[in-house]
Parts: sequence; structure tokens; C-alpha cells
Amino acid sequence: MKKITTLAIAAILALALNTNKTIAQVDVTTALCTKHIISPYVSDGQQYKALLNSDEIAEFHSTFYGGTTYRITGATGQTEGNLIFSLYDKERNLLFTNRDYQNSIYWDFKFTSTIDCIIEAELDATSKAKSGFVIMLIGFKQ
Amino acid sequence: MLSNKLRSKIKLVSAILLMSVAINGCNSDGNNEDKIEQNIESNIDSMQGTLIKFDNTLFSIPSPYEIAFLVKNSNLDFDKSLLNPYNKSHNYTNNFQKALNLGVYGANLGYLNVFEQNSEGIQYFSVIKILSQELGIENAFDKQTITRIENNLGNKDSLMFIISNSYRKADQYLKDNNRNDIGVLILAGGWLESTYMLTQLSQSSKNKEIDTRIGEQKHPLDNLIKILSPYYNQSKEYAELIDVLIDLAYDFDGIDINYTYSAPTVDVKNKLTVINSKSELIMTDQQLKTISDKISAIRKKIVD
Repeated sequence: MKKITTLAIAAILALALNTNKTIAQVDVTTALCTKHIISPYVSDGQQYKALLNSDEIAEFHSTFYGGTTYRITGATGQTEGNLIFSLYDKERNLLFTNRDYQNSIYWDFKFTSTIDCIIEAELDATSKAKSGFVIMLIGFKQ
Repeated sequence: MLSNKLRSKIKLVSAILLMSVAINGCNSDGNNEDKIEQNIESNIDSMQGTLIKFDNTLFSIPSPYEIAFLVKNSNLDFDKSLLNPYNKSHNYTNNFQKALNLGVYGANLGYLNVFEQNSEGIQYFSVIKILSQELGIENAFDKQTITRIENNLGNKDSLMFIISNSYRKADQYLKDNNRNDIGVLILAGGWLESTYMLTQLSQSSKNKEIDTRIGEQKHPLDNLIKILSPYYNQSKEYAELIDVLIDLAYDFDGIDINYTYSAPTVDVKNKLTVINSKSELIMTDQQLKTISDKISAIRKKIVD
């Protein structure tokens, strides 16, 4: 009975501390992204969040208007450079990947025509994180 | 009758539980995020913490503010008749109506802002503040944000930045607090209102660029339906909204979009990629009229 009580208390504390730690980590990750959606870029009013394991990929489906320049920013964890994001068209042609640019936390895209795209996000295999929340933000240029 | 020993254990566990609640009440950013969004399944392992699986396919809707900029850049005059009157906000009595119209008024505010209609903008902002409070997302329009908005009333670029960011914070808060059923309605209201404005401008201006923008809502509408669909059974109102949007999507399906891939060009120094691929929209006048009429009918039901 004593052992069960001790284990129950340990589990409750671990859950509570872990939940708070997770919320704090997501806040840090979000802050890494928001600092790049600054004037002249305006947020599209949405926040994109996914929880990934090291072997998983999140997909974000979006339409980008012709004549507009967008900024896409994405992060995971507490530092920049741990997230790989790639932009594909609907035919799965690769339009861009930040893997080619030291996992840059943001990149700008100027669309000459309105295009439906898919953004894939995955954890960098070389980082230590085995899983983590991914935050992505999209801004458009005023 | 409980033994003293058992009573002591119960008190100890209760104290631990209270401490856990207190720990989760603390948040370094000052946000009131006290729950993690749970979407599909959860697996608790007391050794490794909580692992929660999310749906990893997400859909984005173009911002109503983008549409407002596009309208401004089409050299069209400001038209106040496009707006949902702010004094109608008293008619919205449940969260479903309030959330949809928070999106509607947000789109209106964006339109007012790009045309620098500041005095009207103040009225709409007041209504947005009230609806946010009534929906429990006043954190998105906290005192600091309100002060920044008031200090930037004459600066449309800064104002647009602040307001868009507030809607993003509201979206974040609702998702983090398992209230995405409200968040998706705000998105839906914003999309419907901005698309409605485009259809009205199309009729009055006969501007081909505006017509194209309407046709380009084909896939954003598909995305919107996907975002709303998990809430189909939430209430009769959700089901009716999704049903009318699906009916509208059938009309958009008739629009052809011919896509041609071209290799992008990269400016590494400026972290800029130019996407050279092209889309050509083919839409008849009849398709445009049918879509416009249906959007007007849906919008009327939401704002009246």
C-alpha cells in the first residue's frame, strides 16, 4: 500500500512537471518563429503546430497568391536550426528545402502565380531531439 | 470510519495534487495555457512523461487581410456597404455565432484598415474586443495590445501587423486550450466575409483580377471544409455550415486550374526563392454567378 502510494505520487508529480515543461518549451519555440514575422511581414493569423517523432513528417497544405511575397518560418525545441522544412507543389515537385541552407529558420517566397503548395516539416536527424513540437508560422508582405 | 494512517495518506496525496495544479498554473510567458491539445490518442508512461499523438496534416486558409490588400492594390474605391454593420453584434447570442462573426468583423477591420478608415475602424475594433471577451480569448487583445492599437491608429502598416498577430495569438490560445471548435469558426467567418467582399466587388467593378481571386478560393475552401469536418457532429449549426460549404465546393469543382511547373530561382543572399510555376484559372461567368449567389446566401445566414 505504501509502495502504491509512493508510485502514484511520483507519477502525478512527473506528469505535472512534464506538462508545465512542455508548455514552456512550446512558448520558446513559438518565440523563435514570431521574431521573424516582423514588419513588413504580417501574420496570416494562424499558428501551425504538430508533434513529431524523429521518423515522422508533418504536412501543411496552403495556397499562396500570385504577386505576393511570403515568409515561412519553422522551429522545434529551444534553438534555431533543428527543423527541416520543404516546399512542394501539388505535383510533388520540390520547390525549396532549408536543408540546403543550414536549416535556416525562415525563408521568403515570391509567387508569380497563385499556387497550391504542401510544406513538409521534419526533425533534423542530426539533432539530439527524438521527438518534439514543431511550430510553423506564415506571413505575407504588405 | 477511516483509520488515522489512511486519513494521513489521503491528505498527503491531496496536497501533492494541489501542488501539481499550482505548478501548471505558472507559465513563463504569462499566457493562461493550462492544457495540451489532445487530438487523437494519448499514451502515458510514468517513466518518460506524456506522449500525445497529433494529426500531422494541417490546413491553412489565406488571411482575410491578404484579400484586403489585394482589393486595395486593384485600385478599387472603398465601399462601406460591403461591411457587416458593427451594431449587429448584439444579435449574436451563442458562441457559434460570436466566433463566426469575430472572423467576419476581423475581415471588415482589415478592409477598413487598408483604406485607412480609422474612425470606423475604432468601432469595429471595439466590437472585436467585446466578442473576444465573451468567447474567453481576451488574452489575444490584452491591455498592452489595445494600447499599441490605439497608439498606431494612424499607421495602417503597424495596425495590420498588430491585429493579424492578435488573431494568431487567439488561434494559438484556442488550440492550446482544446477550443479549436471555436478557432475554426473564426477562420471560417473570416474566409466567408473576405470571399463575399470579393464577389460583391466583382459584380460592381467587373474587374477580372477580382474574378480570378474568387476562382482561386477553390482549394482554400477545400481546406476550410477539412478543418471544420471533425466538428460536424458537434451541433446542428456546425453540420449545417459544413453542408452548405460542401455544396459550394461542388460549384468550385467545376473551375479548372491548369498548372505548369517551372524551376524556381533562388537569391541566397536575401533568403528569397521566386516561384516561377504558373496556374491558369478557367471559370465561366455562370460559374462565377452561381458561386457569388451561394456565398451571399451563406453570408446572410451568418450575419443576420
